[in-house]
Amino acid sequence: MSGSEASNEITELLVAVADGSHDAESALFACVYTELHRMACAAWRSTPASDTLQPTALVHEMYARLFRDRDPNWESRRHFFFAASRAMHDILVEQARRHASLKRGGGRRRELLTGDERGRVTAQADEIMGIREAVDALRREHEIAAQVLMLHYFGGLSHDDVAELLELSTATVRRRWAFAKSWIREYLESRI
Amino acid sequence: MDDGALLQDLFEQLVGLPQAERDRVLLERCPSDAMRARIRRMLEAYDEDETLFEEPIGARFRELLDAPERRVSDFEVMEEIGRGGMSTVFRARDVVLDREVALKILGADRAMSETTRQRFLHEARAAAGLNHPNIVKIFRYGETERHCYIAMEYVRGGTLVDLLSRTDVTGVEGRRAVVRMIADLADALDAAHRAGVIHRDVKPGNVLMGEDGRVILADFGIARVAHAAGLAETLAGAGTTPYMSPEQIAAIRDGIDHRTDIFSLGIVLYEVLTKRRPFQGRSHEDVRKAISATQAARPRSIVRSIPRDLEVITGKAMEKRPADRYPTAGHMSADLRAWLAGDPILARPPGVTRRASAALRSRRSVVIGLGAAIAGSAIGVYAYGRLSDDRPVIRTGLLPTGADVLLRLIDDETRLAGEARRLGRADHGVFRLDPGHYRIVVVEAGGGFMEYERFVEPGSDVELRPAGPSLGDVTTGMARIEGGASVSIAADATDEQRRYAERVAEVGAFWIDRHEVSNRLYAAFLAANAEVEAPSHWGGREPPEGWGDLAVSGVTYNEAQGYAEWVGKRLPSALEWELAMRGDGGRLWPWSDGNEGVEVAAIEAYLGSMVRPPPAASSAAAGAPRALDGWSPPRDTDACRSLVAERVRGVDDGGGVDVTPEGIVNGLGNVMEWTESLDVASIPSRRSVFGNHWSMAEKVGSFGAPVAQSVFIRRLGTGFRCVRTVREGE
Repeated sequence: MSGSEASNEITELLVAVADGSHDAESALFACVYTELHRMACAAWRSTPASDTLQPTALVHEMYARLFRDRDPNWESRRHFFFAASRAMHDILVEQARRHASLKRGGGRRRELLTGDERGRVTAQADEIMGIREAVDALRREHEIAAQVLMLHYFGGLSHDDVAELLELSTATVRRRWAFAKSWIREYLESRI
Repeated sequence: MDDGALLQDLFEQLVGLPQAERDRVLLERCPSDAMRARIRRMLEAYDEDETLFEEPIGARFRELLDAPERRVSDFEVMEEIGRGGMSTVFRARDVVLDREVALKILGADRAMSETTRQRFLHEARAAAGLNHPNIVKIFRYGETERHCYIAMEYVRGGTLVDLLSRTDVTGVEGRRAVVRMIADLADALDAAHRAGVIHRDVKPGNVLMGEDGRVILADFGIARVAHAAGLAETLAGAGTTPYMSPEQIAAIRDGIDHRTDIFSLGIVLYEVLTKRRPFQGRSHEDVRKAISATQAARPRSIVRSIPRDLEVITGKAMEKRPADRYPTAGHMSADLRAWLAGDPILARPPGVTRRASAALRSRRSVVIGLGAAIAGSAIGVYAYGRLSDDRPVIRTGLLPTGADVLLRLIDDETRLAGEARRLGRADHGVFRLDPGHYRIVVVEAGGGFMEYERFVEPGSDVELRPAGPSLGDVTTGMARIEGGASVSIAADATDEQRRYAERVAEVGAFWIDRHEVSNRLYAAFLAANAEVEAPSHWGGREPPEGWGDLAVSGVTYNEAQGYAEWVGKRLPSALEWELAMRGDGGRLWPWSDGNEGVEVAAIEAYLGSMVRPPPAASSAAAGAPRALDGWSPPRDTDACRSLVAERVRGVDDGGGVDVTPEGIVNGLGNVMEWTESLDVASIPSRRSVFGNHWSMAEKVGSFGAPVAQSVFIRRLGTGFRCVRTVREGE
C-alpha cells in the first residue's frame, strides 16, 4: 500500500470509528501502526546518524500528511492521536524486545557489537520494556493519567493539546502528567 | 474514595507544597504506612528530576533501531533476526549481488567442533538441493576463518509463532487459512522426503511467513539425508521436545523415517487449531513421557467448533505408531485439501474398540474390569457419535414452502462456487452447516430462483429472506454472458490474456445488469426496507432532485447485497465481473477489442473527465487533469453532495466509450463496483471492488485490476451492479 492509499484508508477509518464501528477501531490501529512503522524505517534509513530521530515527530508528520488541507474535527483528531500514541509505543516495545534478546545471547554476539554498545542498547531496551509494563499497570488504576502519559510521551502532544483532546483543563493535565511520571518511576524503582 | 483515587489526590495536592507541609498533610490524611511510603518515593522521584520523561525518547529510538554493520564473506551483516541452538541468523546484504539475505552464522571466536561444523554444512547441502516454493531457498554456503555461514532467502513476515499470536483461528476464515498453510507445509515435506531429506525439527518457529502469505519451511537444522547413515546416528534424539515423535524420543536408530515429520506436523496442526500444545509437562522429561505414553485431548474437547474431519486428520497424523499415520506427507496434504474443498477425507476415525483399549491403557483408567470397559466404549461413542450439533444455523422459514435449498461451497482461492449439494426443503426451517463460505441456492417448484452468498462463521445464525414483490422479468436490462469456456484467446495473445482465460474457464453462464444500480432503483429498495440506512450524502431517504439516474454510491457491501437479493439477484463474483467486462477476447478496456470507430479524442475526453480535480480544488488548476494524490473525500454532507452532483454520471451514460460490445455500460468508470469475492488475503471483511471511480487520480485502472474494500466502509466512489446465474434450460 502506498503512503497516500494508506492515508485515504486511515481517514476513512477515522470516520467509521466516529460512527461507532468496533471493527474499524482495530483496523484503524493496525493501519496507523503499519504506516508509522514504515515511516520510522524510512526515516531511519535517510536521517544522518548524527541527527536525533524523534519518534513523536513521526506522529506529527503523519498527522500533517493526513489532514493536509483541512482541519479534522475533534473526534477524528482524538481517535487519531490515541491510535498513533499506542502504535508508537508498540513499535518501540517491539524494537526493544528484539534488542533485549542480545542480553540473553551470551558471548556469541560479542564479536558483532562492542561491550559498550551492547551494554547501552540493552539498558535502553530494558527501560522501554519496563515502561510498557508500568504503563499497563498505571492504566489499570489511573486511566486518565495513563492516557495523558501516552499522548504526551509517545504521541508528542503538548499539554494544551492533550487537554483539548481529553476535555480537561491544562492545569489538570499538568497535574496528571506529574502524577503519571512519578507513579511510573516509583513503580519501576520498587521493582528492581 | 478508593486507594488509587486517594493516592492520586494526595500526590497532586502535595507536589506543589514545601517539604514540611508535605509531611504534615501526609500524616493527617494518609491512612496507611505503605501508601505514605509510596507517595514519598513518588515525590522524591519527581523532585529528583523534573525533566523526567520530558525528552528522553528520541536518542534512544535510533539506538534501538540502529544495528552494527560487519562483514562476513560477501555479506554485510545487519540486525539479528533469530537464534537457534548453535547458530544465529542475521538480516544481511549480499554486497556482490546487492540483495537482502538471511545469513545464518555458526560459531564465534571459540573453535567449533569438527562434528558441529560438518553437521552445519551438511544441513546446507541437504537444503540447497531442494527446490520448492514452500521450502526456504539456499543461495550459498561456505566457511570463513571464523565462521560457517549459509545465505538464504530473507523472509520478512516472521514465523508461524508470531502469526498464531496475532490471528484468531477459531473463525472460519482463520481456520481455513491455517489449514491451507499446513497443507502447503505437508507438500513441502513431501518434496523433501522424496529427495531423501527428513526435516526432523518441524515446529511453528521453523515456519516462516512470506509477505505474500506463503508459508516457508526453514532450518533443516538437523535434517538427515537418509542415505548418509554415519552422521545420522549422532543425530538420533535431536529435535525440539514438544514437537518430537515417540520414535525420536525413544531414539530408535533405524526407526526414524519421514513419518517422524508427519507426527510433528500433526502436532503443529493440533496447536494451530486449538492454540494449545497437545503434550505438556513441567519439564522436558514430563513432555517426553506424555508424548510416548498418553493420548492427547481431542481437539474438539478444547475448541468445540473444530470440524470433525479436521480432528480425524490431526489424530491420524499424530498416531503413536508410524505405521498408523499417513503413509506420506502427500497423503496428509490431500486430506487437508479435501477438507478445504468440502470433499470427504480418506482418514477414518479409529474404531470404538481401539479407542476403548487405548483408554484402558491410559493412566486415568484405574478401574479394572467391566466398569472400565463400559467407560471406554462410552468415550468412543462420545468422540464420534452425534450427541449434539453445535454448528452454525441457516434459517429458511421465511422462504416459500416447498422450495429446494441447495448449497455450493465457494473456494476463496479460485473464487469459484463448487457443485451444488441438496440440503433439503425450505419447510424444514433450520439447517446446520459446517462453517464456510457458501452460495445458498433456493429453487421453487414454480420457477422462482434465489441465491445467497454468505460467510458462515461458528456460532452464526443466518435468516434467509425472500425477494421483494416481483418487478417483472428479472433479466430485463441484463446482458447474458456465456461461461468462461467460451473464451477463445488469439494465437498472439498476451500472457495476461492467457491467464485470464485460464482463470475464468470454469465460470458458468450468468446474466449481468447492463447498468450500475441507479439511485432511483435503490430508493425503491429503501422505501420497502425501513431498517436499511440511506447513503448519508443523500441527506434523506430519497435521492436529491435530479439524481434518480445517477449511479448509487456510498453503500456498504451488505447494503448492496441486500438490494440484490431484494430484486432476486446477487452480487457478481470477481470472475463473473471480469468475464462480463473483458469478454471472449480478454480485452482490458471497453474499446480495445477491435472496437474500432471509437475516436481517440472521445477516449481522452472520457478519461479526462474522470481525473478532473474535485470542485474544492479546481480553482487552482482550472480544468486541467492533475494528480489527486493525497486528496480524500470531504466529510461533510454538503461537500459530498456537490461532488456527487458534479462527478457521478447517469447509469446509461458511458461517455460514448465506456460501453462493451456486449452493451455493458460504465464498467470501466463512473463508480467502482462491489463483488462477492474476498481479496487475495482471504479476509472476509474485505471484498474485491472493480473498475474506477471519478476521483482516481491520473491512473485509470483497466478491467483486470480489483482493489479490496472493507465491507463496513461507505465510499462515495463505490456502487454496484447485480448478476444472476443462468438456470438450466434458460
